[in-house]
Amino acid sequence: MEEPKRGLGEAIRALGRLRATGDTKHVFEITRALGSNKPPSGYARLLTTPQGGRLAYERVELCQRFGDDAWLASFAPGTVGAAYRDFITRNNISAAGLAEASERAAVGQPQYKHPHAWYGRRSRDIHDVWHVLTGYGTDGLGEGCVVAFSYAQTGSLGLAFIALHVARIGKKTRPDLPFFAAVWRAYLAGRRASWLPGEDYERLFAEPLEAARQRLGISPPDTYRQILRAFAPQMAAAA
Amino acid sequence: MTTAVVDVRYSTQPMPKPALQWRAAFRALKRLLNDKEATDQVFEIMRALNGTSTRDCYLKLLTTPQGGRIAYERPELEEKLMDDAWLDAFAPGTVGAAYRDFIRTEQLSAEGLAEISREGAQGGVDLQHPYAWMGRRTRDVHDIWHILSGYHRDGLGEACLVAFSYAQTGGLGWALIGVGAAIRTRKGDQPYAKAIWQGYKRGKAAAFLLGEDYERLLNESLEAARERLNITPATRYIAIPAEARDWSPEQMPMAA
Repeated sequence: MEEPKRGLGEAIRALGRLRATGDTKHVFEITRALGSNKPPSGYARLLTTPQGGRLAYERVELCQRFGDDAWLASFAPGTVGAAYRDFITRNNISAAGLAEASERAAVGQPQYKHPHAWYGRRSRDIHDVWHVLTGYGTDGLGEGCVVAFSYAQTGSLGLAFIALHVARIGKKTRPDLPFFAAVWRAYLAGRRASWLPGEDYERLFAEPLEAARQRLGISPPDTYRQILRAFAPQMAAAA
Repeated sequence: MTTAVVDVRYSTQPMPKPALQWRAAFRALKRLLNDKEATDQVFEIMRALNGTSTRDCYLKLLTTPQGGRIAYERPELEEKLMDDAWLDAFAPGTVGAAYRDFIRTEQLSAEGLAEISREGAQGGVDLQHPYAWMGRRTRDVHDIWHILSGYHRDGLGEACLVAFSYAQTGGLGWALIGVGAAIRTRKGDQPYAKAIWQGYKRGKAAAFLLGEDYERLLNESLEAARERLNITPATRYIAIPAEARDWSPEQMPMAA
């Protein structure tokens, strides 16, 4: 097995590739380049609670669950599950698509049977649910905000790196808009919210979205929306 | 009972750090040393003194690719070891065949041991949690370790095996039983303590047995398995005559 490249230099090179191609696999290269090769601390944290322990024991592969259309169709309007279904349909994305991007970036075996590998797959698979929970879209800034939020939740340095890059690019195009503030607020929202990797996603999907946001302490994305509104006339003109 | 289980399944409250309960452990040890068949007291001692050892064994399992695969597949050995057809299939000379003959002559069963572990355990034994799974695994492999170590089910054999198990798992409950047995037998006319100490040293020298793939191990020849796992002969235990290996309050002139 080839040893993956690490370090800031590799992260910067991967970022260059990401900008050139827009391929999501480079995001995984960045998080890996800035990650440690220690076991994921999130897995150990999961085991500190009875629910987390059960999730680890059941070790459901969420990618398969989220790819199950019949299962997704079962959620009532207004629930997290329904919002997720609408989100992936509207954006024409899927959990499998994200999984595939990570597998193309991976050096090792993607279906590696190890609890830590399972945890890594799970962290990846819940990314789009976090879009739904936080209210950040799949536009560049929305992604920047979700990764800033995720950095607060997971401590994965590569995510902070991407978030800062997104804010910097935004600021270059429109110096009058608060890009850094939007990303910073997303980070703070991630800090304040409950620890989302410890959620039971199958159960969460059946919960009304607003109730779930309240229970998990996820604050609304005000600054992000303010920037989107500033762009709205431009987008309307382009359409 | 049912409601309590449901609550636990969804609880996101951190579990308290397990505290060592020496008083309860000594009480149970006293009962055990007077009756080596009082297996429930063994579990009582384990619960009292386990501390973080089960967790540590689980985390140790994750440090190797094979261990990680086993943790991911998390086989429940109790069910497997209760499958008579499966047990019958082991070829002579294998670990599995020796295990089968052992539990049948001794009239033991993985399920019987599991049942005893559930007594007084307040539902913790069967929790769906990787640490609880490791606890069950440690319990279920005990009789296989009798085979691998060569220690029989007499009092001395059990004492040697708990010392061996302490070396393997770091669970203080095992250490307490081993030390208790060594102290109890110190006035005996045989070098019991030395045999028990050798059990500890053999456990230290051997490979991490909780990280073994037991389906594969049971199909391996016993001698080859011992060599591969660096399990040395139980010379000090064997040197003590079989009739002197067992003890009970009546046989042994020892203060209670």
